[in-house]
Amino acid sequence: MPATADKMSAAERLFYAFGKVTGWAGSAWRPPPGGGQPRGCASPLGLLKTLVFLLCIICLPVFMVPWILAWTVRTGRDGLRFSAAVDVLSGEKARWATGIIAKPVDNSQTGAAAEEIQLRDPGFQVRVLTGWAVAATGRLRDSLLSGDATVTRTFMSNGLYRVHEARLHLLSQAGVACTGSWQVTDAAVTGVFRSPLTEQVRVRVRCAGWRREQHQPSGTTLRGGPQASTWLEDLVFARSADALTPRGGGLPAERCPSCGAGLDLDTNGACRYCRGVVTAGRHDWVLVSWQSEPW
Amino acid sequence: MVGDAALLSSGAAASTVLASTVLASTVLASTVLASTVRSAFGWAAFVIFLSWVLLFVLLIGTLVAITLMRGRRERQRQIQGAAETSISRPSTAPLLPARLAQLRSADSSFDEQLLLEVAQMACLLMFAAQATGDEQAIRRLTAPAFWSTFSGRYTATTARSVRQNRDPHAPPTRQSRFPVDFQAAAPELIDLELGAWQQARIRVSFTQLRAIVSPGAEREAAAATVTSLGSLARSLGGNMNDRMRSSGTFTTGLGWVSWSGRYDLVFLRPGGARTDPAAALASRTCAVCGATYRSDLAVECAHCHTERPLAPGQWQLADMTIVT
Repeated sequence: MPATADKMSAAERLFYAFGKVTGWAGSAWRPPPGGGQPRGCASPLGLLKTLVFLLCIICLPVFMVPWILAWTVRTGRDGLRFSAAVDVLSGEKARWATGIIAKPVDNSQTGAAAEEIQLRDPGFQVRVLTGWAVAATGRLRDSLLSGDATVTRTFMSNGLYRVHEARLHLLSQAGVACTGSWQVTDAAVTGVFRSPLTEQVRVRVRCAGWRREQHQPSGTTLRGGPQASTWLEDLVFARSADALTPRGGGLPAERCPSCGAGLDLDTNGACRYCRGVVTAGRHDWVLVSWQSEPW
Repeated sequence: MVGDAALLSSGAAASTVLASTVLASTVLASTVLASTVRSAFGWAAFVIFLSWVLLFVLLIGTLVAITLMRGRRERQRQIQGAAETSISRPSTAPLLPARLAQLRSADSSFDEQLLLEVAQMACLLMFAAQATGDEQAIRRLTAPAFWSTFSGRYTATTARSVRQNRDPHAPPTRQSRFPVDFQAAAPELIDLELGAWQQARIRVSFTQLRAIVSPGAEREAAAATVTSLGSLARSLGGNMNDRMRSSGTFTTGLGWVSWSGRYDLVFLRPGGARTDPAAALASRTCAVCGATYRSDLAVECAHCHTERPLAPGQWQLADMTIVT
């Protein structure tokens, strides 16, 4: 269905038309397209536009109230529930509140869950995952700098890979480029969890270096800069609750967890030798969540 | 002469009568007109005054209702206990493992992991549509019924509003709205119902950060998070000011909006639908020319422009509700 299939209600059309008139009237105070000073009230048309603009301000609620009422009737209680439940922030507050790293889970809980996993799967070793998290962070950096998600294919779950790929696509469409240089200086497991369906391990890495995100068409720096800094990143690995560590070491050892061949995956996360999809978490650990501190 | 005099006399009398009539009519018409004009202005002033009152009543009422609901939600959160982390125990339905086994036996290629991937993707595409105004990618994943739910209407309205609000005076390259960060916890399958329609409920928690690069970006971002009458007035005043002054100068501003929350996504497919194992793998390449789609945002092949098909037996998003 095309996007244009949505029909505007009469109240919305009225408010939209009001916006257009306000925009036209406000143009008296904008500089002309070729540059120079705005004409303001210097011409009769400018004076008329100014009067219309003032009238628009006075009459604003006449057009706004039907629009609000129509929206309230359409959304009803759901709209209020949504507004009350969703956490929306704007400005610098929004920027610095996104991606706050959660406190580590209690050590005793983590230890107990790790022991439970080790009892079921003797091949499970936490340090293998920390080492893998360090390597994964390096590849994530490469994919952000190049705008190409392919290098992350070998350790990301299919879901996260698709999200990462789409995110890089969105940034590229918007003309945003990432530059920088950083590496991991420290990594530690901060949470282990087991449920009837899945097992999850959270690894926290500390990165040092610099990074910058820039909107190239306007030259606006979105985040970061050339100055060196350190920050934390959380990587959550997960696998199916009945998966066992593969004999050859699996994905962290660059081996196919299904057939044991050297790791060579297509874009779907399927091994080119055995055709098995190995990045769904059924055979081995895969990265299901990646979070970087606000920057 | 007498006749002339009589004629003149009668003419003068007639003229006097006519003049008197015209004068009287003019006075009457002026009086009526003045009264009409006065009353029209009076009515207009009354309507405008009433609409200002209504606007404030509506806004104050909404703010009070939302504040009360937020307060109740905070109290419930405190009662429920500790702050949530991404690794939290899933609140799965007790019958889920049995139903999952039942579905797997009926549809041997069913893989809940693929369903969870679609859910994760749907969230990003929905917020991308709300940020960029381009909703074609999310429409591929949704059932028609989704667009009559609150989330569907909200997404469609927000996307349309973004398309309409693009500043026609600023060059397209100088204005962008896009999600820069999308951090989601691993989605969880929390319920499954089997019947004439198979229904899967998936819980997704995420935070997304959206950047707005355009003239008046800070005001646009602030308008998205109006929380008080003061901030509403500042936002409205700022927008009016931007319309008058900033747009033509193309001064690019930078604004941020973040969203976070937990959502339950309901996916549907007909009871007899079966997963096509080949389709899941083939969905990333064009069936006509074999080219790989750049990402799930692509709705057609970049090379041969063939429309990207939907896999048969595909689950479709039917509803999305916020978890309070």
